[in-house]
Amino acid sequence: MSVSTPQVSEAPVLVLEDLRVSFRTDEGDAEAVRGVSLSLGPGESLAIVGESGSGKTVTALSLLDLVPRPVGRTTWEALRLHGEPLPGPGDRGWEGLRGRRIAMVFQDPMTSLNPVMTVGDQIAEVLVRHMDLSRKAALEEARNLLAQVRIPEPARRLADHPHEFSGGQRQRIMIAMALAGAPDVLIADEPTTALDVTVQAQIVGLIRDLQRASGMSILWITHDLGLVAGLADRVAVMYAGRVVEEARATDLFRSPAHPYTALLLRSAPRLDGALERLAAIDGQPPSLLSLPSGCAFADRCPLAEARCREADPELREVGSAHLAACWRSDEVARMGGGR
Amino acid sequence: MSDPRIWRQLRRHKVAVASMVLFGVAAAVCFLAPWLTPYEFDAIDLSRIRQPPSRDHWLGTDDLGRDLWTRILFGGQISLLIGLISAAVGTGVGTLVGAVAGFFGGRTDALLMRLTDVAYSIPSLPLLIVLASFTQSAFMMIAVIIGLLSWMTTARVVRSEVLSIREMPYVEAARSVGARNRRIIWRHVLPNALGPIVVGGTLAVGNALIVESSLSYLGLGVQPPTPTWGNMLRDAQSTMATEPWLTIFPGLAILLVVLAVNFIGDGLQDALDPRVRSE
Repeated sequence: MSVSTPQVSEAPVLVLEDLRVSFRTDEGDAEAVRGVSLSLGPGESLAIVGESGSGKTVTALSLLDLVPRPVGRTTWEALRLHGEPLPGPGDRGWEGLRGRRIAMVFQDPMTSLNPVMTVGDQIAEVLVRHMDLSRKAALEEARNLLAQVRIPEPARRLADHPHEFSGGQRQRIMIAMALAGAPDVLIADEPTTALDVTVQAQIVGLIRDLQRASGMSILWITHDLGLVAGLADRVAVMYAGRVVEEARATDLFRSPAHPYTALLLRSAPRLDGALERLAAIDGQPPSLLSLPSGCAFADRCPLAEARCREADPELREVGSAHLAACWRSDEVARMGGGR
Repeated sequence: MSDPRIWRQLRRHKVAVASMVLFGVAAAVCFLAPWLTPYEFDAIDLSRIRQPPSRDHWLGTDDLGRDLWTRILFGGQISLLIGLISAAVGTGVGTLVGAVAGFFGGRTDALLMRLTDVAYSIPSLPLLIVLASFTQSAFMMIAVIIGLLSWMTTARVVRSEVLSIREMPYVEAARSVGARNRRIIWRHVLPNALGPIVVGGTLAVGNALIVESSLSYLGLGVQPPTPTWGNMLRDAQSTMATEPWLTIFPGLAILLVVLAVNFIGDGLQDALDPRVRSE
């Protein structure tokens, strides 16, 4: 087990307790996030892993209070940055924090930049807003940021519009925008899913390098377990709006304690030679409109038994800094699937 | 507009360039009228009424013997100003209402759109009569009134554009770096809705010329003897068969200006969109 892995006990940068988000729909309220708690240490990388609809992106948006109102209803017990409470959901004061203390890189770089504004102006906008720079100084700084994210000929390219850049370059520009306010926490919401595989590795490497240089904490949102192995210190696995397992990345891959994690690991292709048939997880995630009273994964779980359908297990400690929400987590090891 | 590439692209749009030249020449000729014609626009010469075009009177004379060329130039001053001012007023108000309604949605949207419906459904004629009685037909007021009667279409079009633009990821991205609503609307939403706004604005110029002429017809527009292209056209309709030049030339003036403005709008729309510009 690696010794350098940062621990939660190190006075966390960001603490979130009991986040709940529901969306009003015609068929009733969809509970997208049901009591998620997270903490992020200084310079730490935490990955939230989950499939579509697991609530991982909504969790990320909540940290910037970007969940649309009044369709979405957000509540949390506590949200603190360096120990100071942040404004509540919908309160004043968020605009000064967004991009300054917490910033976000979005999924799709093709549509996340304003097509009719030059990239220089878009980066400079953040600097003028948060760093108290004149437009001229901001453009100068924007050039530095473009150089930092390794865009060739940054001075000339400031005056170009987004469509003149490739997808990977646009994501670099998004990263430059997110870094412009020198945030304490960067949320990277599947920043590589819309990109070519070769470009993905570059973008991930770039974010890692920038993190090392600035010491910011990163919250990765992804569905790609393979990606997680290489970049996260800790991993939280989400299913149907809840964290079902949280552990150091090494522990999670070696000994998953939730059947969902184990099955996820088994369904991911491995590159180390062992050629097995990829195992799909049978069934569908439950509808967020009518969640079962017991464990949300019970219907798809090979270990499910009567009590799983009766009561939803709480997240509890199953090892050192290892949490899982499963009645039968001791037996998960026997399912196989760990690496 | 500071971007030199906008001009470069605009110049590539040949018809738009020709239209800008035409519009520029027309405006210059109208406003230089005192130097371009020996006649006064209201100089009545009863010895030479209803003359066809000739060397003395290039475009002929009307039923009071006034020189038509002179009247078209002086009338153009007022018609062009009314067209531009009312289009600016109408487009400005419409864009503001549409942007606020579309962006904020909910009750704001419902309120503003019902207001728009009401404005649409009020018959403009009685309203015009009431308003005109306060304004003594000053052409500036007429321009503003025409603008205030024509913002509703723009408001609806802009609202529907904004409804889709506000859901774009770049709006959320702008929000995520701390941009406030006003800035998001001004820098991120409206520039992306510029196409329909410009088109609406150019159409409004032509529309204003027509509305002004119907106002004149009711005696509520610019009052004689001051000419406008609209009231000249109206005065000519009884003599359309016998003295066709009185109808043809003011009509031609309106047609050319409206066409030119529409082509300019077309060229602007392309030039303002950087995605079109590079191709």
